[in-house]
Amino acid sequence: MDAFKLFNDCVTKLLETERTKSLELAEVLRLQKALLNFALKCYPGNLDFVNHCINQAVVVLRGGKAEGKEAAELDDAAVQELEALLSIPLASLALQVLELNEYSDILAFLPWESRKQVAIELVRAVLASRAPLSDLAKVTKLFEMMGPLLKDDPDAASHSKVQQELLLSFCVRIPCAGPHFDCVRLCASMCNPPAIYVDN
Amino acid sequence: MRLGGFQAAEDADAEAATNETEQLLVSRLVHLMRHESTDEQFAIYLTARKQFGQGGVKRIQ
Repeated sequence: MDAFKLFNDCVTKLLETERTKSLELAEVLRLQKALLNFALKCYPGNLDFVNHCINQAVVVLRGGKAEGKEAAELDDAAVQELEALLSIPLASLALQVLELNEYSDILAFLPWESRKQVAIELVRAVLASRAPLSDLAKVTKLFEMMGPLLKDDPDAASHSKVQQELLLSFCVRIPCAGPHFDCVRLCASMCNPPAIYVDN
Repeated sequence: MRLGGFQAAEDADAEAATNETEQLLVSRLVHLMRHESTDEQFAIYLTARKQFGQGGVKRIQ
C-alpha cells in the first residue's frame, strides 16, 4: 500500500474544498512541509515524491497565476514555513537537490536573507556529503542557487547608498567631539563596493 | 550620539564576522571540484572564478 499516495490525496482534497480556500498560506505550506517530511523519512531517496511536494508548493505560491507573473508578497510566517520546507530535503539529498525541477524556481519566492539561509544549508549539506563536484552543469546550477552567498542583494544596494550619503552629510554638518573613526568605519561598511575582476 | 556610533561599529564588526563564516563555507566548495580530465576541471574552475569575481571587495580580501 502506498501511504504517500493516501496522504497526498487527503491533502489535495483538503486544499480543494471551499472551506479551506481561506486557509493562510503559511498553514498550507506547513501541510506540504509535513508531507515532504513524511516522504523523506519513509521513502528515502525517492526524488519523485520530493519533487511532487515542491511542485505542489509552487502551485500554491503561484496561486493559480500564470507562470512568470509576480507572486503575492509572503508574510513572515509564510516565509518561515517556506524556508523550513526548502531546508528539509537538503540534509538527506544534498547535491541531488539540483535534480529537483522546481527547487530553484521556488527559491525565488523567498526574500534575499531567507534565500541566503537556505543557500548556507545547501553548501553545508554539499560539504558534508563530500561528493565531488565534477559536472560543470551541476556546478553552474549550484552557483545559481547559492547566489545570495556570492553577491550582495541588488535591491539593497541603492538603499545602503542612500543611508551612507545621509550619514556622511550628518558627519560633515555636526562634527563629533572626538575623532570620527566610528563614523568613517560605519560609512565604509555601508558602502557597496563595485564588483571587481569581472571576467567576460 | 557617540554611543550610537559605537553600537553601529559593533554591528558592522558582527556583520563582518558573519560574512567571513559564510565565505569560509563557500571557499571549502572549491576543494570538492575534481575531474579526471584537466580540461573539464579547468572549465569548472573558470565557472567558479567568474562567480567569485562578482562578489565585490568585501568578499575578495
